[in-house]
Amino acid sequence: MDLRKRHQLHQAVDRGIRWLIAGLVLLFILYPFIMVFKEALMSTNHFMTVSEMGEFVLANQSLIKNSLLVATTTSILATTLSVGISLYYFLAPNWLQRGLSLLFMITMISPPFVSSLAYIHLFGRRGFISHQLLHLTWNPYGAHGIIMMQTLGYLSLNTLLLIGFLKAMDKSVVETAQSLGADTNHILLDIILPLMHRGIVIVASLTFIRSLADFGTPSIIGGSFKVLATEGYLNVIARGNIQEAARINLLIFIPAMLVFILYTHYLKDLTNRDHGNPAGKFSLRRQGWLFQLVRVISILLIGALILQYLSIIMNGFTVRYQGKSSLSLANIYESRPYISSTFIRSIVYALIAGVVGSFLSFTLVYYSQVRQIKWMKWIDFIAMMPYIMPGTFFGLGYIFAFSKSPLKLVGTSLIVVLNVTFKQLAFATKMASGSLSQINPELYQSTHDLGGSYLNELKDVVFPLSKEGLYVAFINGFTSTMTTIGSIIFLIYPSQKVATLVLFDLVQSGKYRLASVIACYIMLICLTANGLYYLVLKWMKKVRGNVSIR
Amino acid sequence: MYLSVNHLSKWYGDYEALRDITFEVKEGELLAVLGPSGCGKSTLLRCLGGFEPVQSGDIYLNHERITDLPPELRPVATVFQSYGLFPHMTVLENVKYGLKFLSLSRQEATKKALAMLERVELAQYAHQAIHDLSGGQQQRVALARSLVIEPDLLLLDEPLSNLDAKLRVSMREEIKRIQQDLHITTIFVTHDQEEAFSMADTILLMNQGNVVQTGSAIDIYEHPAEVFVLDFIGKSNLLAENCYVRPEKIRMGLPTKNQPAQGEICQVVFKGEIIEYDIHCFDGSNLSVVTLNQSDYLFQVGTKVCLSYTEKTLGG
Ligand SMILES: Nc1ncnc2c1ncn2[C@@H]1O[C@H](COP(=O)(O)OP(=O)(O)O)[C@@H](O)[C@H]1O
Ligand SMILES: [Mg+2]
Repeated sequence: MDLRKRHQLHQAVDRGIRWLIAGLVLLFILYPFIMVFKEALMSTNHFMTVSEMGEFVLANQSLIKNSLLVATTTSILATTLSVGISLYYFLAPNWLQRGLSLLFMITMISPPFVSSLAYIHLFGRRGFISHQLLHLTWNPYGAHGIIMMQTLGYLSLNTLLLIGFLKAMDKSVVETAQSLGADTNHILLDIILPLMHRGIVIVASLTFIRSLADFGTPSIIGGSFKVLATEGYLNVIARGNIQEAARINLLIFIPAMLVFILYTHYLKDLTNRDHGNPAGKFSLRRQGWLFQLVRVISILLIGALILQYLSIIMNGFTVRYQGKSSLSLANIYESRPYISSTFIRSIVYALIAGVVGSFLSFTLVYYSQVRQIKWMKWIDFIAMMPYIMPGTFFGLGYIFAFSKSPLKLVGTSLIVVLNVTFKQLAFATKMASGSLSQINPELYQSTHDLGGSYLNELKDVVFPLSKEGLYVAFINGFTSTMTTIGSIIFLIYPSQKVATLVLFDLVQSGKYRLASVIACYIMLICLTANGLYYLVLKWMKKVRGNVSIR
Repeated sequence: MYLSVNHLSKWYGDYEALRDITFEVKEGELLAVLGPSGCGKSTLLRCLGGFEPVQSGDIYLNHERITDLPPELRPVATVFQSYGLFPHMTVLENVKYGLKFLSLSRQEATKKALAMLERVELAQYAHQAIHDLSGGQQQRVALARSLVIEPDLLLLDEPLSNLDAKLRVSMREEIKRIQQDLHITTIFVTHDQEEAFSMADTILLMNQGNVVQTGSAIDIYEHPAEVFVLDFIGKSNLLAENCYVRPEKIRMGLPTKNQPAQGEICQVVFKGEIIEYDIHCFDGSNLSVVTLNQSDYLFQVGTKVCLSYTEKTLGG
C-alpha cells in the first residue's frame, strides 16, 4: 500500500476510534444517568412540579437528616483518624512502613459487608467480645454501628491516599524547617499539616460520597435507623417501586455532587503545585506529644483493622456447637453449593471489566489530554461521573435505559459487564491522566517525524510507556468489580449470580459463617491478582534494568 | 579551628559515598566544595547539616562535637538547592520562622526579619506569597531565612544552579557581600569552577567521595595535585606523564631566523575576548594555545609558528 493511502486509512481509523469511544461513554454513562432523572421527575403525563418536589423532600426529611448525619460524622472521623495514621506512617521506621503499606493494601480490598460481618461477630448480641469476653448486653444496631463500621472500612484507602500526598511533598521544605530549629511537633503542625490540607479535603469528600451511597452497612447494622441508600434499595427489591427509588437516589446524588465540585476544585489545584524533590526518607525524631498521640491512635486502629480481618477468617473456620466454638472446615465444605459457577463468572466479568476499562480510559484520556480535542474533554468529564453516582443510581439507570428494544439488554450478562466496565472508568481515567502526563510530548512529535501516524502514537508511545498505569487501572477495575454490589444488584438474574450477591444473600439470611467463607474467597482472589501484579512489576523492572543503557 | 571535620565516612548501603573526609574551616571563611556531579558534595553537606548519619568520623563546630546532634539542635542552617521555601507562608513568615525557636519576643522577631529582608533588598515583598516571587528573589528569601537565625555555620547546596546565567553572576557577588558583612562561616557546594574561584576563600576539591585537594584558587590552579585536578580545573596540555603546560602560558610567535617554526596551526576558534588555537607540532604532538584577542589576527589556519613555554610537573 502506498504511504499516502496508508496515512488516509490511519486517519479514518483514528477518527473512528474517537467517535466509538465517545458514543460508548454517552450511551453507557450519560444516557442511563439522564434516564434516572427522567424517571424520577416525570410521571406518566407531567413533570414533577416544584411543590411536589418540596413535598417529597419533606416526606423524606428524617431519611435525609439521617443520611447527612452519618455521612458527615463518618467523613470527619475517618479523615481525622487517617490523618493521624498517615502522620504516624510518615515518622515510622522503614520496616514498619513496609508492613503498614502491606496491611493497608490488603485491608483496602474489602468485599461488601465484611466490616459489618466482623462487627456482628465481635460486638453483636452474641458477639465474641461483647458477649463472650465482656458479658455485655448492648444494642449494636443503629447509627453508631454504621458510623463505626464505615469509618473503619474507609480507613485504609484514606490512609493510602494521604500517604501518597505526603510522599509527593518537597523533602527540602521539611528539612529546611529542621535546619531552622523546628522539632517534630512544630514540623507536623507548622509545615506538614498545612501542606496536607488539600489532601485532607479530598479524602474527606470522597468519604462523604461513599458513605452517603453505602446501603450495605446500614442495611445490616442500621437496625431501625434508616438512611436514604437503604430505602432506595428496598424500594426496588422489596416494594418494586422504582420511581420512588429513582427519586431517593436523586436525593443522594445532590449532596454528593456538591461535595464533588469541591473535590475537583481541590484536585485541580493539586496538579499545578510547585515542584521540588519528592520526599525520600526523613530523619525526623520520633518524639513530642503529637507523635505520641498519633502513635496511640494508630496502634489502636491498626489493631482494629487486623482484628476485623482475623475475625472474618476465624468466623469462616469455626463452628459453634452447644455454645462452644471449635475449629472446623465444615463451613468451607458447606459453602460449596453456593460457589459452583458464580466464582468463575465473577472472575471472568472482572477480567473483562479490568482489561476493557483500562484500555478504554487510556485511549480516551489520550484524545482529551494529549491530543487536546475539546469535545473529548466533555467525554472525559462524563466518564468521571460514576464516581459521584451512588452504585444503585447507576444500576437503576441501566434498568431504565436498557429495558426496551432496540437496546433491550436487561437480563443478559452483557448489561452486567457493561455496567461494571463503565463504572470504573471514573477511576481509570484519573489513573490514565496521571500516567500520560508523565510522557514527554516530544515523543509524539518524533513519532510523526519518523513517518508514524496518530495510531502509532497510541500503539508505540501511549500503551508501551504506560504499562504500569495500565496495570494499576486493570487491578483496580478487577478488584472493584469483584467487590461491587450496589450497581449490579438490580441487573443480575438469579441464574447468573456473582460472588458478592451470593455473599449478600447469605448475610441477609443470617448465615454469617458461610458469608465469611465467601468473603475470604473474594479477598483471596483479589489478593492473588494484586500479588501477581507485584510479581509482574518486579519482573518488568528486572528486565528493564538489564537492557537499559546508562 | 572553627570547624573541623575528621575522617568522615558515609556509606549508602554498600556504596561508599564519602571516604575519610578531613578538612578545616576558619571562622568567617567561605569554603567552596567543588567537584563533578555525583562526587558526594551534597552528601557531605547533608552530613554536616545533620540530615544523614555518618558511619565514622567527627565534626567539631566551635569546639563542640556536633556529630550526633539532630539537625534542629545543630547551630547550622542549610539552604537547599530547591530552596525549601514554605509555600503556605508569606515572605516575612518564612524569614521569621526560625526565630520562633529562639527566645525572642514577637516584635523583636518581626523587626529582625524585616531588617534581614532589607539587607537582601526584598523588604517591599514582605507580605507577598512565595510563588509571586522570581527565582532570584526566592533564592534571597531562602538565604535571608537561614541568615536571620545567625547560625554558626551556613551551608548552601548549589545555590545558584536554578538561576539564569546573568543573575548567577550578580548573585555571586551578592552572596559574597552578605557573607562578608555578617562574617558568617559558610560552605557552599558547586560543580562550577568559575563560581568557586570567584567566591571562595578556600576550595575543597572532591572526586568520587574523596577530598583531592584543598587550597586557594591560585594553589589549585597553579599546583594541581594530580591528573584529575588538572583535567577538572581549566585546560591543559599533558606533555608527558606528570608534565604539563596550560594553553595560556604558551607564547606563540612567527618563526624568525633564530627561531625556526615548530608547528602549524590547524584550527582557530574565535571566542571574542580570547582566541583558541590547535597546533600540530612537527614532532607529532598536538598543543592547544590560548591568546588574548589583540585584534592583529596574525595567526590563521596554516600559519607556521614557533612556541615557547616552561613545563610544569604535577604535585610540584
Ligand atoms: N539516599 C541515597 N541513597 C543511595 N545513594 C545515594 C543517596 N544519595 C546520594 N547517593 C549517591 O551518592 C553519590 C553522591 O551523591 P551526591 O552527594 O548527591 O553528589 P553531588 O551532590 O556531588 O552531585 C551519588 O552516586 C549518588 O547516587
Ligand atoms: Mg548535589
